[in-house]
Amino acid sequence: MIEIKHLTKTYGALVAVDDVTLTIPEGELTIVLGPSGCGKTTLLRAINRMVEVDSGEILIDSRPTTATEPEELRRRIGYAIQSVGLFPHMTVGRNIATVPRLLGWDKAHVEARVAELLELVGLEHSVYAHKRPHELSGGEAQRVGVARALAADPPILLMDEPFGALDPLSRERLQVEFAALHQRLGKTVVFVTHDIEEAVLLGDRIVLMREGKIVQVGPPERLWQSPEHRFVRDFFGNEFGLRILSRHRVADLTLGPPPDGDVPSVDQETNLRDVLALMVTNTSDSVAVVDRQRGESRVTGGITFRAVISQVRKTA
Amino acid sequence: MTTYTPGIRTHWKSITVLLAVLLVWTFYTPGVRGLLGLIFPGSERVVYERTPLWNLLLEHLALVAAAGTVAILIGCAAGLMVMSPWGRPFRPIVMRLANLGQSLPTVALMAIAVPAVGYGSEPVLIALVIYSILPVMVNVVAGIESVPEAVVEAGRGMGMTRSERLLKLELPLALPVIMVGVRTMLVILISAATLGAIVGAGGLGVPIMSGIGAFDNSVVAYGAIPAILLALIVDRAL
Amino acid sequence: MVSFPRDRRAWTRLLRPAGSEVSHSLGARRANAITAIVGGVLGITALAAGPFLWLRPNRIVEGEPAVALASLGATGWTALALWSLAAFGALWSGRWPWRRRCADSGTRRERLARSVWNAVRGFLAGVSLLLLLAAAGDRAAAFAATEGTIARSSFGWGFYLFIFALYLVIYAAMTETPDRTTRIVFAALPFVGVVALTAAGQLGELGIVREWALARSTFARETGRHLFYALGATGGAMLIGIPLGVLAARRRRARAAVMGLLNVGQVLPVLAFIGIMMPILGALSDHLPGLRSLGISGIGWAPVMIVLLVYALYPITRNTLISIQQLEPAVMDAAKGMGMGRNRTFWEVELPLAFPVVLAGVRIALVQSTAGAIIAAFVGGGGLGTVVFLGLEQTSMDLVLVGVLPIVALAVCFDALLRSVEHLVSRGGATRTALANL
Repeated sequence: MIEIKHLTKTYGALVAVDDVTLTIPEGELTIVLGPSGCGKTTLLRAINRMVEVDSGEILIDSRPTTATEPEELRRRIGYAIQSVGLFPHMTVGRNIATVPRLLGWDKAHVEARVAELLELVGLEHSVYAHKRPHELSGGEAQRVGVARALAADPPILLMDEPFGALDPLSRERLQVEFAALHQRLGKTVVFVTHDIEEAVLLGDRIVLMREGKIVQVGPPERLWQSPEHRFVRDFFGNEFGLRILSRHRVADLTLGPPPDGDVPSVDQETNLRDVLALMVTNTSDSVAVVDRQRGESRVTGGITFRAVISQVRKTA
Repeated sequence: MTTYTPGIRTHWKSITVLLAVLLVWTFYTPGVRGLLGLIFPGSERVVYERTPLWNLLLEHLALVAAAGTVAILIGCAAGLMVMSPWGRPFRPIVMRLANLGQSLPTVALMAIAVPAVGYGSEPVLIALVIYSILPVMVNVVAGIESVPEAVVEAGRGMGMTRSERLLKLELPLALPVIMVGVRTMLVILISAATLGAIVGAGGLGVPIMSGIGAFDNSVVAYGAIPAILLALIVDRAL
Repeated sequence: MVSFPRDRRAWTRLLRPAGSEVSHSLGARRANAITAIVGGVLGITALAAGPFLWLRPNRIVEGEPAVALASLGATGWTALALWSLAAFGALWSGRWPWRRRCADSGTRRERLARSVWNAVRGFLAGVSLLLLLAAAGDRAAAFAATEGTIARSSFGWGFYLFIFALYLVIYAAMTETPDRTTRIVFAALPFVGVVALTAAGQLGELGIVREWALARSTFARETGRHLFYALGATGGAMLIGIPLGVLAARRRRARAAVMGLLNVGQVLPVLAFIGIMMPILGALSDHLPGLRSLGISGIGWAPVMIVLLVYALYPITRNTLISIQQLEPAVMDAAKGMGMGRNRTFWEVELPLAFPVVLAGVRIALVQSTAGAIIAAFVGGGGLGTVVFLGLEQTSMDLVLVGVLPIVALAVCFDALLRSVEHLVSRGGATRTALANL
């Protein structure tokens, strides 16, 4: 658990972070969101002491971050940045192995871990382990970056707009994969972004910042249902509800009776925003839910337009 | 390019040829004598008799090696100092001073050093070191600056200490640029060391000077050819 | 082609960049203060401990050392006082630069006060040098009165160390003066002052001046020759190198060949190169009698000029090549899209933008040739190297200096002059930053 208490950081006349107090719960993916210059990156970098703050303190598992040398601290926190920063003169495998080697792991252990991580981020070990960074595409490079951040199995992962420099297709793919990864690993992730879609898709909680201060903290649904400030509404815009829909799947709804007629079909895993899109495309106000098993499709029920749009309100 | 590949790998063929010619020229004196005698029929001495050529070659190399080592040490130290956080504001003045060292003519530097340390190789070494610090230092600075910021940031975020970052990230990545500086320096040194003969140092400048003084082009060529070959070899090999 | 500012206001705006080149940051100010203090300490050591002059009854004898503070009397102490003010005055610069609160550069008035004080400091440092020189001249005259005209008062390491310290102090003071004209004026002050003192006869008995007086005609002739080499080699290299660079920029295959060839030329050791040129030119002039009538032969000016020209080709050609390559494709695209023909684009877009970088190459070549022309003495080609060798032969350091100082002065002048011209004609920030790195 990360506790940030009354953190302030100024650069000359500019107040980057203004008396911020925040608790980041363990195991959750906390998104720090806000417009450019709101202090989110500074806040992130204060956690692993990449920037030294003017006042306030940060406690990780009740120990202040200032208790150890910064290098010690950083070796136990994963750090992934937008430009990745892969070391050009080392292979992918060596890159990933950096922190474990810094910590003195033995060779066999390191190699096993590298193989494990490449598999985790979806890269074939035999193909990628010996490639050099300049041979990788943007998406591949960022996967390696994430693998490298996770190498020493740190409990905390700090990410600064890691998918920002990718093309939309790669970005989407990596976001989905990362969400799954987080489910699997359960680490405490602090993720900075200015992309609302990404924030709503990935975040268990969102910390919305503006001009160095926190505006509101909470799950996306709460920010949508009960915005504490006009800025929250304005920032997320009119599409907020739609975006939140993408966090839910058909499986979250109670099914109604199967609809008649020629309606599109979806399965349990389809997210509700796609369901809505399907309804729009086919001008149908209901869809059939099927259960696909062993090549057979069996209609198990249906959902209506009304049911979909009411869903969001229920779980706020 | 992020890794340094010495030229010797790509140009090994031409280097071998040049090296062979150099060795033959240095050791097979009768053959050289015959060749030069043909080209310069009017020559009296044809080759330089007083000291064997391989001796002169070694003296030359010794001058270059000694001055080069000192210059690399000073140049790297100055370059690293200027790139460190506390040394950064001193960069303009340090660069100016190094530039100054290179804008004075080598001969002048040697001549001025003579009253202080006498004739021989000492003034030459002093002049050579002062003259060759600049290329090394400038390239150390440029090399470290060429390291992408994201790499250093990532290294820092991972918990590498300053020295770990320097040794494992910045220097290896700066190496290609630094080696260009070292190569430039060595070539400059080989050239400047020929001038050492003026103030009584040894080296390949001795036969050249002797030949010029005696209007004997053959002797001049006897010393000039190996000097040229040496410079070409070093330039290609690094 | 290149348009110079037409009205006075534009000129003054060019000559006075609005403080853009001065760093008011705390780190920079501290570094300058430290540089000035180091210079100050070195200067005081030089004056207090080092022999400023060596009073020698003749050229060969080592003679007696004359330490500045001990032998230059009241003037020496005055100079010391002014010097200390100039150097340690760095500690006060509008605001004490040591406290954290001074992280910002202060109010406008404080910045102005600091600039003025720094200018004054530079001035005081220069004046202290002139005072010392004047006093040294007196001392030398007094010495010569007793010993006769063969006496020599040569500079000792105290003098040289002081000059070095002076450079540090003036540099530190000048970098914090935003006004470019003031900078140039105060940097030139010591030179101007020295010339004035010499003209007034004040320095007449100093060893170096005596030697110069003795060798005056030789000196004049060889300086002329030296300039001939420097300017001739650079001029010739421009005529050949600039078109060569344009060619290399336009054609890929030519580029490799041209740069490869020039690189070889660059690598050749200078003495060996001249040495090899002698028989080659000798043979050529033997077979082509027309050449000999022009003065081209194995000895004399021809081998020197050719060698210097080849060395000068590299920076000029390389810079021409780079300047064209670095032209932003977007600019070229725009010009093409507007319908500008090849020629027009070249003269009106490419050349003006590439000009400053080419000029930088010319500057490098000129400074290089000025220093390099010293070699001409080896092959009977004249030049200031002759004076240097004369001095070495006659074991007269003063004569050596008479040969070396003009070379250094010329190199510095050419460098400063061309840098100013570059500054004037460079348009756009990118060119300026690129130039700063050359």
